[in-house]
Amino acid sequence: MHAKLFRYIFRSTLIAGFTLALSGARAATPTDAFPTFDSYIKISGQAPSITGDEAAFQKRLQQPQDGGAGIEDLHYTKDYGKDKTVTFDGRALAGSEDYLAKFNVTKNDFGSFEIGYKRFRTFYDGIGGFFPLNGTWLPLKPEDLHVDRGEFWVETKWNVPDQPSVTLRYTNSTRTGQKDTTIWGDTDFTGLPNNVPPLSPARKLIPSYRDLDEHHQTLEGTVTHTVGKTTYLLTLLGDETNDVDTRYGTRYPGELKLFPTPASTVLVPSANVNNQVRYYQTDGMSTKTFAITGKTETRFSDKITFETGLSYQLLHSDFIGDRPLYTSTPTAIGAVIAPSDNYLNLSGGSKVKIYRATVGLTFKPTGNFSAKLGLKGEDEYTKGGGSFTSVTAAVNTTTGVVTIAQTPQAEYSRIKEQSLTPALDLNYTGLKDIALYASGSQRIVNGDERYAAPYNPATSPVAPVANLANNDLSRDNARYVIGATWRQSLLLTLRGEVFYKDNTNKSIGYGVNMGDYYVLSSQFTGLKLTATAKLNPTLSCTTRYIFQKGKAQVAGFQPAFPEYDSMDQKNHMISETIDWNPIAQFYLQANASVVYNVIGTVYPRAGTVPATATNQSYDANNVLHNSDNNYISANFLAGAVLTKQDDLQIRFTYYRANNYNAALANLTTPYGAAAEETSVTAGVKHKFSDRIFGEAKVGYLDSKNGTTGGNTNFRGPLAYVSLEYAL
Amino acid sequence: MVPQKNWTRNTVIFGSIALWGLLLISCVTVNRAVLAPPTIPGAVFTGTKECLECHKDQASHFASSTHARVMVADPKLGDTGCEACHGPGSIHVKSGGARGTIVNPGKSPEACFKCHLEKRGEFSLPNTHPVLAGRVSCIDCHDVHAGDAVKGFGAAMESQNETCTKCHTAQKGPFVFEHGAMKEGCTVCHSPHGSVNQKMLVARDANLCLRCHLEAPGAVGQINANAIRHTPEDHATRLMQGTCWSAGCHEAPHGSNANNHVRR
Repeated sequence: MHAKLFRYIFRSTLIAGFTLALSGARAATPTDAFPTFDSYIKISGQAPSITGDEAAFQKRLQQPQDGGAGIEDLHYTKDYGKDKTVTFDGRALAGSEDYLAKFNVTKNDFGSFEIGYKRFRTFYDGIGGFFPLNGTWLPLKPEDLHVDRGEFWVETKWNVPDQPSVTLRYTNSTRTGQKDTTIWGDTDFTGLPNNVPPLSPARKLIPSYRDLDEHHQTLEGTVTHTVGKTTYLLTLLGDETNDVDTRYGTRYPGELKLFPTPASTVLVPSANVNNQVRYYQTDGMSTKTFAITGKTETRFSDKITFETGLSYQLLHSDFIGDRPLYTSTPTAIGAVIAPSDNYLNLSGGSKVKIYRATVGLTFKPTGNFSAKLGLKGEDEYTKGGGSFTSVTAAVNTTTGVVTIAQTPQAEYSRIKEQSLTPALDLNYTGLKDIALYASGSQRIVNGDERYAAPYNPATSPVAPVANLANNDLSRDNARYVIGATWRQSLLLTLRGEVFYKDNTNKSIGYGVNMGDYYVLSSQFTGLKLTATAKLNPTLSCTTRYIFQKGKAQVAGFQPAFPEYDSMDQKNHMISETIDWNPIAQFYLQANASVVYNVIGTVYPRAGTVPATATNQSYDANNVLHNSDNNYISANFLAGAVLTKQDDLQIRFTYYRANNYNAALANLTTPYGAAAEETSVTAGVKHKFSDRIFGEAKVGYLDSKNGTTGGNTNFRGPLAYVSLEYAL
Repeated sequence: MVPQKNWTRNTVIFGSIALWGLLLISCVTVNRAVLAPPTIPGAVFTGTKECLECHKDQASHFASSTHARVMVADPKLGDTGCEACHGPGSIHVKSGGARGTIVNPGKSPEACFKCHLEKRGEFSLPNTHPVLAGRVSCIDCHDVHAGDAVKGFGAAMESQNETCTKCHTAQKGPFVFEHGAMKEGCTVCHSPHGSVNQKMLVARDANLCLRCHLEAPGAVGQINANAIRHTPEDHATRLMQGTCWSAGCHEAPHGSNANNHVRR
């Protein structure tokens, strides 16, 4: 049966291909039946019918599972006289809460005024982790979360020829809503035994979420003016943020230790080895920033350009915070909730001062060679401090009485850093059909850090030595790139680039208040290769290969533990795009990426922990395996003319990652993402008249998520219709 | 651990037959073009000089941009730098800048994907900025007309993390106790174009942190992490339970105002 069908397909393909080739020879007029209108309104609606996890669908497609409708796009433009244009853009999509209203009036050689507001919603899901041994899956209820971003802006530009150009812009942005975090809580409901110390049945799988209330305002004014050969730029910026974010989490939900504690833990069910802890942490911070930046650019000649820049930034911040943490504690009279291990009334502030200066000299001795030498210097000073009340609780397990102890805490830090960054860019196009370039920069940072870890100012007016740290700081970040573009012919263009990054980061304690000892070095080498082949006027292929290899070494507390390799990372990424336009009435775009990415640290060098009198032996190599982040993705898009008034478009997408390693469950939380997703969409665009277009699409998608044990799978059809009308 | 497929061979076969049938009908009956995005019908290259007439601000510093260095001048037209991304501009020039006559990468990433093929794949991943959904564009983060396309590097005036913190203000700080990784840049831990892992993390496990904080192998079986204050700290049993930034551990990876080990 299948053999017959394949023969039929083969024959029909040959016939179709032959016919396509013939009709292509007729050289259809390259005009589009669906031109862009100057002014138009587009109304649309979309409706999914999803089976499975609706929150996962929303997050993946960034669409509401209930569908939505409204004005997808509105554009109105009108010219008044020869030099004035008024434009209005709008969007109002209920469901996805995607809105835009933008009004702009521009007068040539005078300036413009614009005012607008936009807002869109980002969907999240609070799913936490999945444990494969017993299928533990404890998502938030409700699971679907979202965050709305909004921005209001007003901008005026004064652009009169031969006069200073002035731009003034005010923006007010908000970010509100709820999103998940990966700071997951613990559970003992994993099916693992609790009597094989030091191995624990606890795994961090319980989802948490953040409640966001963030506000950001900026007022920026820029003046640009050219006098003679020099262009001057001056920017003044006022920036204010007010963020109050609260993270809600639970540890060991539904658990309570037995009371009194049984003599043998062997008999204790694994679910009853911890107490439930509910907490929330509020982090509030407001910042006020003032910045002034000046730049000059002097074109002495076509060959020499000299640039300078100077900026000063001053930031003040105030922060507040609380972290109430409530532990259910078993007592003789029942479970008692005790506020333990938390802090209250966090308050403090920081001050940051940054000076920056840059100079740049661009030299073009010939028309095909240029060299730019740049130098940046920075001086940064950060000082912060705060206080809070540390709260602990003691529970009398006989009476259930909770005794709370509050301890004041104080802390501070101060960092001074100076950096110098020389940079060089070279470009050469003197060889026929070849462009060569090279660049390099090295950022050298030196500084000093002092801090006092939280201490009790009531008992110690100054921070105890044990809490103090003096560190010498230094960093060295070097980046080098060399590359070339070669247009071998009109049919083939090749690009290649090799890069190297070398970083050193040191924090070394000194003096009486000996601080840290931390030396991190890393080296990354890689290349990017791109080949674009136009095999014939109707077919082009682009291939891009990116490779990166990285290593890092850390020295912690010499001399007992000298420098040690801490990372070995490899990334291979190959992508291909094919554009095929065999005839005017048909095109095909195909794109695929295959990625191999692995990050290794200690595995498999940790070794086996020998047994002791109290602990069992275990293989630490299985606590931490390499991190695989491999995937394949593909996208096919085909368009075809159906009739004089109809176009057809078909899209197919595919994504697959298969990195999940359930075998790790015994000794760690299984990691590695795994999923397989497929979608196919077919749409028809119809021209009702010269002023009205319509579009209808139907699609089907199927998403399977192995990371969540299939709990977030979803599938189903989607429909979309739109109508576009020329105004 | 990827579940089994549900697509049947018959679905593909009959779908293909239907598609070919439609194509055959259209090809022999319609003499009209359908255009693959991003394409400007009938337009030809004009060279950058034409662009400078109206877009002096964008074009005047293009020579300093990352993208300028890969351009090879056309022997007839000279520099076609602008049109490499914006498409051939003849109709745009002739119409005086009419709508729909030029490719605008600010509205659609398709023009960027022409060269940065792998970015289409990354933006298709489950954890990414909503670029394909049209809510964020490439130029929100990259300045393609002047200087380094990745802001803050070399001798540029901007700071390295400004691209991210202009939207993610809560992660900017300043914190009393900074996490040094923030000095290296947000992209040390996050893949802004997309990741297979939640929160666009480079890795969804403790390897993310141990790349920089595996201080020493320690004794046999130990995984020593974050022991920067002269004391070895075996984290092996803690890492069994979850990631370094799990509840109860180092919950403030961007910096903390209450704990010098970024624990809360």
